[in-house]
Amino acid sequence: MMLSSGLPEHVADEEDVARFLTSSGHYNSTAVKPAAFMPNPRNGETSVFRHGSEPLEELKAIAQAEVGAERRIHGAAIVKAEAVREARLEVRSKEPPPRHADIIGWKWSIEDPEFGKAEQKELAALIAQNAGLPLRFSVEPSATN
Amino acid sequence: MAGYTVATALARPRSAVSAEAEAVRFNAAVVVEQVQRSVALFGPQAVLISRLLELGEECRKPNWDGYGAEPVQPRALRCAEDLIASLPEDVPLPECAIEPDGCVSLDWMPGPNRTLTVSVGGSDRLAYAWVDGTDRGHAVAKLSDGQLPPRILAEIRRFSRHDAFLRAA
Repeated sequence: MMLSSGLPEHVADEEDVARFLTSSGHYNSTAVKPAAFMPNPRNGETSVFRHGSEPLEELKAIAQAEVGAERRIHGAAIVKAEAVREARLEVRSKEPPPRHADIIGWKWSIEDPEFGKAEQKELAALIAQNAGLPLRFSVEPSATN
Repeated sequence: MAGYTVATALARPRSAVSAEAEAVRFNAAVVVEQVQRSVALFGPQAVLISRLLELGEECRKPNWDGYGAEPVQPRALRCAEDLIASLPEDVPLPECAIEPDGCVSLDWMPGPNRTLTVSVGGSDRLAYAWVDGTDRGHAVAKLSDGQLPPRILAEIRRFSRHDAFLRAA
């Protein structure tokens, strides 16, 4: 099945997914930090976009349109979907917006929230290591409060 | 340290002509002097705590990351600050990040395949995880009199010793 973006519904192992870096603390000059991939506590998912490092202008346009209206984007962490699956998580397409997907399958523990969080950190660290160097670019906010 | 960098630039003597420009230069010079003094007195820990507070300011509003993050927890900031200040001298300093649930993450990343990450939140139990090549895992440890528990300190020392060994090789 094809999505409105023209991409297949299934995210293939060899596809790149980009996590936009919206905090200066989520990367350094040589690495992406685990916090960049930690799931949103509200929906338990990590939002990503199905795009690699090229073409960069297209990636920046997605960042600006979907995440960067009110905040600066510092760059992106890019990993293969396969790396996410190696961490026993899944990448599931979820449009709109176009090219959007979520990393799902994070463990949560009601009985022991800290232990569930510890497992999330291990998996986030594993994915962050696979991301390698952060792709640095700057997108300034398009709107102001 | 972005603020410090800006202040340093502003504090440089220049041929400013207006009273306002001179006042900005003077105030920036005071900031630079205070930061330099605190670094001299307390070392890199003061710089790291300054960076932590800068991140706290960056992440104090809901949805600071654009993905629906919770605001940074003030208690997590205070606790992380205390932990950094109380780190033994033989333990390398971590890097800081704010997590989407408002906790502070203290990260030791001595190499591309080696990460030890500790989450400091609202409770006295610390979630932590490590990835060291093919060895990885996660656990929870309780704060020890407001300091990092011995288990985590031992892990950090193990990571840093290994790093020193690799550098020496």
